[in-house]
Amino acid sequence: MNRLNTLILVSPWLFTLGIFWVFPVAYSLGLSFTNYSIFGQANFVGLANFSRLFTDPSFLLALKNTAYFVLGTIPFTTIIALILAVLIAEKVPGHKIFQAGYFIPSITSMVVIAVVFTSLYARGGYLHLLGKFCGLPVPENGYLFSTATALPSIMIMDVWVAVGYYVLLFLAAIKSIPTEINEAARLDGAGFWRRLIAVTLPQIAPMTLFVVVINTIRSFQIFIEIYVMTKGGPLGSTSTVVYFVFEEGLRKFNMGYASAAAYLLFIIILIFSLLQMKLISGKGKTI
Amino acid sequence: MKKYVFLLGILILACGNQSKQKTIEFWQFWTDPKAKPVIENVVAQFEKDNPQWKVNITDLTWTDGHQKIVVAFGAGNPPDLLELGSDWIAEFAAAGALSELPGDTSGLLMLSPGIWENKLFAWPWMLDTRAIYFNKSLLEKAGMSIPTDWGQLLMTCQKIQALGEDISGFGANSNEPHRLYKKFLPFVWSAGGDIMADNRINLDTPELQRALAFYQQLAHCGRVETQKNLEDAFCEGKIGFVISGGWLLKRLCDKPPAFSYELGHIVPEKRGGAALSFAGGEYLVIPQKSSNKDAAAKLLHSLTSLANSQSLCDSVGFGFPPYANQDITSPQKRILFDQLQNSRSTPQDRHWVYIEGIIETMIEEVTLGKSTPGQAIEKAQQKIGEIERN
Repeated sequence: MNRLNTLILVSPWLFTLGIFWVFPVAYSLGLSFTNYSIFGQANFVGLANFSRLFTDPSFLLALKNTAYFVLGTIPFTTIIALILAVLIAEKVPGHKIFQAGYFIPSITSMVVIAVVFTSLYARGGYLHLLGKFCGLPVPENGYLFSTATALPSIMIMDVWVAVGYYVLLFLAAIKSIPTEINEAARLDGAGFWRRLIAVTLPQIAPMTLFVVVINTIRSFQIFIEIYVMTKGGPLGSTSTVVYFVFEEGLRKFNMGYASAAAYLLFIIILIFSLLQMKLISGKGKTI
Repeated sequence: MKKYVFLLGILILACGNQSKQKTIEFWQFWTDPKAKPVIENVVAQFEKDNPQWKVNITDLTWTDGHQKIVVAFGAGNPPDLLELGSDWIAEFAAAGALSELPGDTSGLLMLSPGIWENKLFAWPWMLDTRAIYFNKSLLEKAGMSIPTDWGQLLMTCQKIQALGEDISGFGANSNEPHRLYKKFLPFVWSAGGDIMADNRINLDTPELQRALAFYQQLAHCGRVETQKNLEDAFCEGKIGFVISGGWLLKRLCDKPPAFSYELGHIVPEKRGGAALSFAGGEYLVIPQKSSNKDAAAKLLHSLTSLANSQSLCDSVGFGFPPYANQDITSPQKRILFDQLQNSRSTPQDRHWVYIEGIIETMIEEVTLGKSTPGQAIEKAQQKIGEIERN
C-alpha cells in the first residue's frame, strides 16, 4: 500500500518526465537513424547521418569552434572564480559588495546580456572605442563582424557572465574547510601563499573538479549567445554544435540529421563528464 | 421539475446554436498595436456579414513563426488561413501543403512569389520594396551630385568615406539571414542578370560576377553592419547611401534628421539602364488540409481588398496594397511605388532556404576579403549543385 501511495504521489512528476523528457529523447534517438524532415516520410538510413556529420564542413567547423570555446573559457572561468573566491574569503574590504556584484551577471537573462554586449562590441560601441583608444588593432566594423575576433569576444563575455556563479561555489567550499586546519597552519608559521597551496587548494579540489565538470557541460551547450549576437557568423566563425543542430533541425527541418548531431554532442559530453567524474572519484580517495 | 426541464431545454438550445457556428483559424504576424486593430476590424466585419463563422486569430512572431507553421503543417494540423512571407511560399507550395486560390487576379502586383508550377497558391496582402536613401548633406560636403550609374556611385561613396573617420560612404549589410541577399540581388538584376535560369539557380554568370565585385568595392568604402545598425547610423548622418524600405522613410518622417536626405531608385550599372530592386511582402495562403477553404477564401479576399489593405499600410506607415492602380500623392512614396513596379522577388526554388544561406555566405566571403568574386561564386555554385543532386 505504501508503495502504491508513493507511486501515486510521484506520478505527476513521472508523467511529465515521461512525456516531456524520456519520450522526446528516445524519439530523437530513433529519428537520428532516419532521413525525416517535417514534410516527408521517415526512411531508415542506418548510420548515414552520423557518417555524413564527419564529412560535413559546417559541422566540423561548428565542432572546432565549440572545442575552442570550451578549452578557451573553462581555464579562465575557473581560475578567475577561484582567485575572486579566495580574496572574498580573506575578507578584503568591501568583500560583501564584491560577492553580490560578481553574482549579478549570473542571474541576469543571457539574452539581455548578449544584446548589451552586441552594442558594446559594435562599431562605435564603448568596447570598440576603448580598443581604439588603447591603440589596439580593432576590426573596423566592430568585434562581431570579424572572423578573428567574433568568437573570442563572445568567450570573454561568457567568462564574465559565468564567473560569479563559480565564485559562490568556491566560496562555499573554502568556508567549509575546518578552521582548525588553517589555525594549525598559522601556528606552524604558514603565510597566505603557503596556506593557499597546502591547505585551501587541496581541500577544495573536489569542488574545483565539480566546477570544471559543470562548466564543461554548460560550455558545450552554448547557444543563446550565438543566436542573439552573431547567428553563427561571420562565415561560420561562431557556429557551435548546438547552433548547428538548431539550424539543421528548426530552420532547414532536417530532423534526422539534426538529431544525429545532437546525439553526437551528447556522446562527447558524456565522455568528458565520465572522464572528469573518474578524476573526481580518484582525487576524492587521496583527500 | 418544470423549471429544470426548462433550463435543460435552454442549455440544449444554446449548445445547438453554438455548434452551428464554425471557426476559421487565422494565423498572422501583425502584432503591432496599430496594425492589429485594423485586422480585428476586418475580421469583426466578416463575422457580422457571415454570422455562421467565427474567426480565431493567432499571432505569430517573425522570430519563431516559421518554425510553428512548419510544425503545424508537419503535424497535419495547419490553420485555415495563414500569412506567409514572400520567400516562404515556394517551400510550402512545392510540398503540396497549399491549396490553389480562386479569384480575379487582374490588376494585382507581385503575383510571382505566389505562383508555383503555373498555379496561384498565395495572394498578395501588402507589399514593400527597397530603394536608395541618400544623405544629401554628405553628398554636398563631398562635392558630388546624385549618382546615376555604378561608377558614379562608387566614386561618391569613396569621397564621402574620405570625409571623416566616423563617416561611411555605403551601408553594406552583414550576413543576417534572409536580409543580405535582398540587398545584393538588385545589383545582379540591375546589371542585366538573374540567378534563375531554366528553373534552376545559376550563379556563374558575368552579370553576377560584376555585381559581386561591385558590392565588394562598395563595402570597402563603407561599413558592414546589421540592417538596424545601418539605419541607425544613416539617421545619425553617418552614412552616405543606404538601401532600405518604406519603414525607414516613416522613421525619417516621424523624426526628421538634422541633415537633408533624398530617396531614389536603385542605381543602374549604366546610366539609363535597368534599375531593379527587391520587393517582398505579406501573402495569404489556404493550406490544403483546411476543411473551411471556401470561408477562408472569403476572408482572404476581404482582408486583401484595396481599402482594407490600404488601412493596414496606413496603420504601420509603410507598404503598399498589391494593386497597380493607386492614388499616391506623396512624392517620396511615389518613388517607392515606382520602384515596387520595377522590382523582383525571391526566386521560386524549393531549396531556397538552403540556397539563400549559400548566396549570403558567398557575398560575405567577398566583402570580408576571404575570396575573390570568382572563387566565391564557384564555391557557392558547387554547393548548390550538391543540394540539387541530393
